[in-house]
Amino acid sequence: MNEQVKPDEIVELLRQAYAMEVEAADCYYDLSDQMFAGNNPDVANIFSHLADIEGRHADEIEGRLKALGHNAAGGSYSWDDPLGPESTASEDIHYLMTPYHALQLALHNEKRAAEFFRMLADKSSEAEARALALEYAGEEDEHVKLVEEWLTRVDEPAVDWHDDEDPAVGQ
Amino acid sequence: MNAEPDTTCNFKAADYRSDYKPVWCPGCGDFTVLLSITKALAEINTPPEETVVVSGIGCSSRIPAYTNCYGFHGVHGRALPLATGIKLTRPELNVLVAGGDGDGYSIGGNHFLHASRRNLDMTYIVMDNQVYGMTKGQPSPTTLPDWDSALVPGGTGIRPFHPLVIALAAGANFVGRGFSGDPNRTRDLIVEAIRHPGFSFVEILSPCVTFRPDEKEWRNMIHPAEVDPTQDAARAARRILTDDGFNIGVLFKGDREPYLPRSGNGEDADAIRAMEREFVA
Repeated sequence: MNEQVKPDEIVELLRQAYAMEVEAADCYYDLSDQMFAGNNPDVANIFSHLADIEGRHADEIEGRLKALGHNAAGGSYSWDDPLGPESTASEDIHYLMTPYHALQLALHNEKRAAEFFRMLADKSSEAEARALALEYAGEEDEHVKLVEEWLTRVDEPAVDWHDDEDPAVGQ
Repeated sequence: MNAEPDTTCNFKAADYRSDYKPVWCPGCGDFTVLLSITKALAEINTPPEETVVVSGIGCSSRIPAYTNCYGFHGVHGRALPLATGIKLTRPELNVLVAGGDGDGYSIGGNHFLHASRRNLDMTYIVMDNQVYGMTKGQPSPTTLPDWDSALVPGGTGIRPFHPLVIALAAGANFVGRGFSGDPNRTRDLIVEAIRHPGFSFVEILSPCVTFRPDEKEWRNMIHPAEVDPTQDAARAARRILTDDGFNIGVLFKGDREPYLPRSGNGEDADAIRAMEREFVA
């Protein structure tokens, strides 16, 4: 990307990407805390690791914004959906979930993120903004492959993974 | 809100989080409400020490410990009187009150009425999960009459409390509804509530995944309020009474002047100083 050119469309795209990555990092940190609270450290560590990755992406995007003479302020978005394109709903987790489930959620999020950037590319009227959106979509596709590879290294959960011998209360 | 934004700093949500890790159940909506509160405070951009977070008892009432602001984890149902005292003595502080439906509408119901009536400049955030979670799943004042559970087979048969309408009737100056699963809109709602003068009441639907797993369905039922907020309390009340209970956003913004204590001159000031000498020194 030619960083001498500063079309508003590129700045807007970077701010959306920044907001998405920050939200994803916040979300994964939050999920990590929830899993530590539920005494599920294996899954907590996975979410924490994913949060670190998203946080590094946010830093990289913030660096690009600064190079264009902009800051990330104003990057708070209210998406059409309640959650950002790379975030997980709290209700989608379970205190007995396994690393396999956590990675499935991450895989789903990375695919959504790639789709999101492709959608932005389709909407872009400016060639450089479109190229940047496709570049980010490509990065998300790489993450999809990484998570898929990661999934091959964890066990699939047992059928009764969610059975709790001492549930909170019989409902 | 009287606290002034600090234009020399750019606070982030993490600046308002403490080092304590929440002990709510995984999946609890209160995690994201905490995130929304800290994001809202970052948006307001006042130093953490200029906000006080006050609570009573219950799962959601643990929130003060998880913030980096001043906090007061009080007794059951008494968060609003504590917050009233804090606001009266330190009116320059931003006072947030947080709790649940059991704490706020049952044992604290009377205080809810009178805090709304007094209209001090503070924000009351209720995380409503329609159940007493901390004590293992009893029906609360907002539980629907037919909610069937092991503890209450067949349901209570009692119509639920309607907190938003009651707040309006009692005189709250701002009323809004949020959903924990929509952290950005909840952040915006809290920012608006804090900035609006007087008593701001924000009810946040926050699912209890342990005792009310059925509330996971709320995500599919939530929708933005289709109309702009009104300044007419009666009109707002009619809308809220006839809606489906799942429209979110600012629902009422009043223009009542917030209550301010008298200035502390003359006989009142002498009496207060005498009491301070007797009880505080």
